[in-house]
Amino acid sequence: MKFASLLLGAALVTSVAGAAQLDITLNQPQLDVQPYHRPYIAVWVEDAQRNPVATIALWKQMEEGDKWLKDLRQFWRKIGRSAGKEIDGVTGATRRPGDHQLQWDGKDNLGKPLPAGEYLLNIEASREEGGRDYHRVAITLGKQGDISLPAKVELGPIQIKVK
Amino acid sequence: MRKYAMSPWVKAFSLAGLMLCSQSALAHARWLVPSHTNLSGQEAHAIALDFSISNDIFHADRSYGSSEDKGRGGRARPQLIAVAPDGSRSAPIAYFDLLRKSAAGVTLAQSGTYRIGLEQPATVFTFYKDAQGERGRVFGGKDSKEIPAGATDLSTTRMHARVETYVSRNQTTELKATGLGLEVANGTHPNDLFTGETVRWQLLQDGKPVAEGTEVMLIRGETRYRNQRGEIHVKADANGFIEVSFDEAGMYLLEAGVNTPSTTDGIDTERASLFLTFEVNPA
Repeated sequence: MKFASLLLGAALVTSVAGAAQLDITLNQPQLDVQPYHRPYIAVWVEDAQRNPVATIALWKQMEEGDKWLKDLRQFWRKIGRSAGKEIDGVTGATRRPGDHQLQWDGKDNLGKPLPAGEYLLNIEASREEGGRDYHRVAITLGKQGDISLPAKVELGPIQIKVK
Repeated sequence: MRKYAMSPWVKAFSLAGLMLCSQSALAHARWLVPSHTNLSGQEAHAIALDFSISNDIFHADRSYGSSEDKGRGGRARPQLIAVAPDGSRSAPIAYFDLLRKSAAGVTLAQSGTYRIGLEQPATVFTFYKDAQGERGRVFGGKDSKEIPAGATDLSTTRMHARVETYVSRNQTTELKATGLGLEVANGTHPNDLFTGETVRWQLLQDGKPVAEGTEVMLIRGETRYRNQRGEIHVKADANGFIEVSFDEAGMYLLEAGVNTPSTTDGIDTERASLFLTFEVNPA
């Protein structure tokens, strides 16, 4: 059951690649710590007034329920508190360190395309017995651009391509 | 979003005079610290609460005792009450005397915002100046036998204190004003606070906005580990709102007090005070 939902989540993320408006390469660094708990990571989009409009990814420990979801503090306040099934499709298990590719098709979680304009891309990571990192960066949908975010601790360098 | 430089907290009191200075000098901060202010997940949740009376914020000094103790001098022990998101009030929650602080555990079964606080009947104090000019205070009215002979400048104050905090499980829900005493009502949700963002709160006294200029003091906890307390002083606007932003994350205490002349025989002043604990997250 758990496995099935993971596969479904992965399938949905990749199936929108054709129409992607946003390509993100997110590095999750290898950390020399013992024990290493894989971080919770959330990626989402808000409008210019900071209202959440789309969730791109939520990686969490599936067997823990949502007990630690509050530690993604910005994700929790903006989406987690009121989220329902609409984010199931982008929710999956925590990942191993490495470069992770994410695509977003510019649609909200109900499949409705968002109008071109200014948005805020949010990327947050929180690790048990570790730290928390958070990026909030302005993007313009409908206008090509490349954004590079420098490495922090829990999040390595991030490349964002707006198409 | 004004930040006031350090100024003596005693200035916050709307009435001037020696009586008030002595009153504040003898008052200590009261606080209640929750282990968690936000909870997520489907399983039932519990939080721990510590509460004490101290000047070093969130560093325990004087215990509230145990909920099982008989009150001293006929005064009732405070009751620890949790008001659930649906407005229902818990039975008094048992708490334990850890000599420097009291402690309790509370289970949050509903989703939404809980108001958890200590409730105590109003307490009457009489302030005086003894024959040597030293100020003091005793519990009770001007007929109290503890007032030294020859004391002058007697003034009796009835204190209504609200000591509380908010904890949200899964969702945040609107705060419902009680209409009693001093409280934070409308504005920013107290479980949604981050550094660098403007917090706007309305203060109500008995359900009505406090007077313009009412002073409010906010202080980050762990004052023991820094040389300056770093008090933030703000004043209420014409609608009773304060605005403030925080540079540092942590547990904070909001203190406010309003004195009004009493219409009750034997009481000179009614004092409503608020001690609200809240958490500011790093952005």
